[in-house]
Amino acid sequence: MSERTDEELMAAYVAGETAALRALFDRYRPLLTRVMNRGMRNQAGCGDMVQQTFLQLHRARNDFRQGARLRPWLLTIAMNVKRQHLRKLKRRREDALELDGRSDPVADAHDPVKTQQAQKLREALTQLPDNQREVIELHWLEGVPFPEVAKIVGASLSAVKVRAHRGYGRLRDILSGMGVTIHGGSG
Amino acid sequence: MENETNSDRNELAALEGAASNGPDPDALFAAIAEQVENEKGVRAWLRGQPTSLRLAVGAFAVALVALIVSLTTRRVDMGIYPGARFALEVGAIAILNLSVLWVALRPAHRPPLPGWVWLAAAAACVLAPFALGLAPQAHVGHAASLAGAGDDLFSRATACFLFGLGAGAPIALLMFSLDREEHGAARRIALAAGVAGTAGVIALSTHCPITQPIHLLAGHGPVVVGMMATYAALALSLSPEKD
Repeated sequence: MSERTDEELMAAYVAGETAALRALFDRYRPLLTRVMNRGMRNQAGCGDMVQQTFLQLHRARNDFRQGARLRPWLLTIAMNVKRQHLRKLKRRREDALELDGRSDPVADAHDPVKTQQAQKLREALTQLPDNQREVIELHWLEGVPFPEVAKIVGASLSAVKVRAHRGYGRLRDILSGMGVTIHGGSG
Repeated sequence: MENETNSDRNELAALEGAASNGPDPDALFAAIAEQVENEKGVRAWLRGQPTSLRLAVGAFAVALVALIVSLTTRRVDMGIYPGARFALEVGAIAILNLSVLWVALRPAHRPPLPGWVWLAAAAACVLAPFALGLAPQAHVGHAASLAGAGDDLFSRATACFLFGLGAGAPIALLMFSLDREEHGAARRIALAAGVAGTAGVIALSTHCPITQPIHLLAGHGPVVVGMMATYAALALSLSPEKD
């Protein structure tokens, strides 16, 4: 089963092969966990969002068309689930995107410098406008190509590149103000 | 260019550090499997259908309600009501209804629409029936059309308000079933109730012969708002998570 493509697994799941869902879960859980974890304080919320993403995949399975690619399809669901979750948290006045000074769960616990840098990066990301932050996270932190990012966020390729370029420049300035230097900035 | 991009990517990824493993995978998958297992019954079947079919079912149901009302309790002044105006009024509300249905049932695997779209859709649903009431009176040529503006204003307006809510109720139930997302959020409630409320307004337009503006404003105008309030109360009481 592990040799099948994502799309073949999805087609198998749509056809009624329930075990294919577990295979898809195993493939996509790490990516979805990283995506959901960014900007979130607790892992329980992250687990809920991954769960919601797969529930939405199940409900939308008959919308998945032959020839479509699964990763952008699933990441679009994931980003929508995360946006919805953040809206909910904001409405509850829980500052979801602000760090509270606790140690960062994603950083290397044995290296305080790395921990601090990771915290600063996460804090800097929260200061970006949502549309720039999403592009930065998907493209630079997850390695999703620009055309796929464009599909996921529902913008043109050129708009996504502009957001990435501006977002990266802004991120570099914010990090610079925090004493962290990054050198790139291409978009 | 590509090398620079890869370099940026590597630099940021290194800065971010090792990724968290997240919650226990087996426990998380068990929770997902349980949720999927619980997706049974008519509601689960309806929202599991392709979006094109969900849209068709919603549109067909609205048309069916209007057809049943027009066949059973058609307005008695239909013979003298200006045909073009009737078609324009009902057609405009029907187009609004279909547009809001399309927004309401937009699937999660499509990128989100701008935030103003759902606000505009909900506002249009609320304002449209009042706009019908503010238009010049269609005609005064039938005795039944002149009622509802005197002592019987409250009773007739209430009757039409309840008729509109009743006609829209099956659509509200259907929208609740067709929507794949939980109905705790204001936008979900506003859109679903907007579809149901405008369906009630279409039904009223084919049923009520009164053309007095005050009656249309007091009895037909608040149908969408009433539907939104009723839908919100019911959806929030059923929703596992309120937001």
